[in-house]
Amino acid sequence: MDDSTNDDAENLRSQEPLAVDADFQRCIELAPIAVVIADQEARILFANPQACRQTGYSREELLQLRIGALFPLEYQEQGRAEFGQLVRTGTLNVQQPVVSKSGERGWVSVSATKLKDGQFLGYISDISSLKAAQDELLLKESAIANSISGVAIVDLATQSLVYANDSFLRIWGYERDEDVLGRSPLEFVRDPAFVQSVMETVLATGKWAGELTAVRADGSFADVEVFGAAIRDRSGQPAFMVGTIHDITDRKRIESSLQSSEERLRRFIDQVPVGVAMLDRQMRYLACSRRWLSDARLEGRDITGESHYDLFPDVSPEIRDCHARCLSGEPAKFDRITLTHTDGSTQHLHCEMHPWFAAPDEIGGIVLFSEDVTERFVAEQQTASLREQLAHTSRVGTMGELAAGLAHELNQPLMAVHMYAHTAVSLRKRSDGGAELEQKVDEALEKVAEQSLRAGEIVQRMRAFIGKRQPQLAECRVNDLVSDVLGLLKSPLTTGSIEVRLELTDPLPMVRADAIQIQQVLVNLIQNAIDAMSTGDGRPRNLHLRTGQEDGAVIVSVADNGPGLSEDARQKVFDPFHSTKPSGMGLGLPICRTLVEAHGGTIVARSCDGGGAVFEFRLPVLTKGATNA
Amino acid sequence: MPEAPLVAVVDDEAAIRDSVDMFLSGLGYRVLTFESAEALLGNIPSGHPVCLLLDVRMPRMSGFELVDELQRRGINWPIALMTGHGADVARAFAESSAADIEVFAKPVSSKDVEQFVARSLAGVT
Repeated sequence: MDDSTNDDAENLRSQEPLAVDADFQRCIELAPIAVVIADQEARILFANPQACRQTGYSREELLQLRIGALFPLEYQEQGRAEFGQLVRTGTLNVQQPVVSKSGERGWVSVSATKLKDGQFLGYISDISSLKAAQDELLLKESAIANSISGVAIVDLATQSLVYANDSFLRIWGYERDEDVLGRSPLEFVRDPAFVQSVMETVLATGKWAGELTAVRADGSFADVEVFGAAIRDRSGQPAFMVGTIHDITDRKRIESSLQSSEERLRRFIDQVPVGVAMLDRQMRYLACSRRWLSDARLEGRDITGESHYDLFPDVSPEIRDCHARCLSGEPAKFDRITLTHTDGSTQHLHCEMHPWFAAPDEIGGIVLFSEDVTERFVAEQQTASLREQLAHTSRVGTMGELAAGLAHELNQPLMAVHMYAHTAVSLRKRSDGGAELEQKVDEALEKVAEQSLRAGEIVQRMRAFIGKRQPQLAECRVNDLVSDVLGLLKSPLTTGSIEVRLELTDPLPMVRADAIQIQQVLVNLIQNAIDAMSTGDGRPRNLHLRTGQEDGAVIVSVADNGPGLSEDARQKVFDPFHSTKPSGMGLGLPICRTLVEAHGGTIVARSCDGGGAVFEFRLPVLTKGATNA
Repeated sequence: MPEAPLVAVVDDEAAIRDSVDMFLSGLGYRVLTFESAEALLGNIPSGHPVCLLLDVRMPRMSGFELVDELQRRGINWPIALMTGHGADVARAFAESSAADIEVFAKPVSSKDVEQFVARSLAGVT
């Protein structure tokens, strides 16, 4: 605005107040809207009281100002342009910022028109509060639009989407909101019936939160977390529903993989077919397998957190001691622990305990393993008893073979009897008679008697061999048995001038044996040794008896310094009827073998390096009885 | 004039040796007894017609082995094999052998022994 126009304005102001109708003027004065008249230089010529209220200036002050004084600094240029437009076109409708006398900013809506005489009338309404609300709304709208949460609004009247932000589109895989707006929210989920019920919940209670499976544009699924809320209209009726949605697919995948690896581990422990339990330092259960529970007769119980000793108060002090040692790093193993349950049943368990480490040098507790070996143990026992039966059967089996042998063995004395008898008969028939002949006849008859007696003895000994006698098993000290037998054989040993060397290992483990049968074996072996050394060649006769222990067996050996055994004899020495002795029947050693084998033992014969024979038998050491856990 | 005929008896069983010896001696034969095949081989009577009463099963060398050994040495005595176990086996052995063998199952009767010896030594006495 230049100075020349300024002068014209001064002229205008100096003129009489505008000639307007007095009533109309009164209306303007009272109008709840600011009314301002300015000249074409934008000098204010008139302002009503409302204009004063809105601007904070008095009427007098306003009349000294140009319109531009009411605009903030940054709006001056645009303000001038707009006024120019008003001057040119005669009308103007704008919203523009204003600043009051006190510097307070606000917004006004201006509706201006050109009056005659180059004057301009403007109605100015204060829209500051509306503008602020608009700004706020814009801010919120932008916040929603840019939220990383998906936001959608459903019009409940049409049951369709009326708003969807970018994140909603991204989650569902759409590019433009036109692709989703107007569609039912049920089209965007895998389970429409469920979502229908969710919407009903929102209507009834005002809100709902939960997880849903979304069906994306390409048909794939996404896990989403949804917060739904009802928006009510002025009458209080729910009109819209807003949903805030988070994509939790990744979170779900991680959760489920964690869950599944945990689940796998849990299943592994649960289903591993041995009893496994993990305990902390206070012997409280952290985890255990189902088999552990069933072994402990605790099927279906959750014993996590419970104390081992509360569950099993009968745990022996020895085992408790092992637990304590295990907690300080020393594992332990029990081949067989026998449990007697409250129901009276007996269970045999193979148990192991190992420390587990919470850190490389920190023992977190112990891991217990148990394996039910009851079936195996019972089977082993059955096998043992079967073996005993078998020993008898094989003895009887040998008997089949023996029957033939027996016939042969009996044939010898019977044939001799027959021969002697016929000798006597034929001698009696001879006519040359005489005392010498009589003597021969007597001799033949005596031999008949002798040989028939021998036949009887063979039958007797066979009977002893066949007779099945259940071994009377008891715990025995082998050294005692040896000493007893030496006592029994004192007489033949003395008579035979035999020097006995005793080499008894003491202490020796106990064996489970029939003492009488083992003594029979010893008597037989020592008697054989005595016989073997009976050939009188003047050498010193030494009987060497030794006991010892090797590989879970007690060993007894009987050695002599007689002629020894040829390889052939060594192989056949335990076969029935293979006697090398003139009076032997060949049953002594087979009987020894049968008896030793019936005890689960073995017997062997061999030649001594320095001449003579050694017979050695082994008996299994008594396995330690069950200890109660 | 040939020496008097001999009956050799080989048996590990003393009662058999003794009773057969006594029986045949009573009949007037000269009898030599051996407790094993080896004992006979170590002291084979020579210059006498001999017949042999032989046990089959003995601790070391068996009767069969002795027969084969005598064959190898060109000694062809009439032999009576006395067996307590399976006469069939002994008969099969006898069939396969070039030796003059008769098989008797134990107990062998005095009559069989007497007849075998008489037959074997017939013509030489």
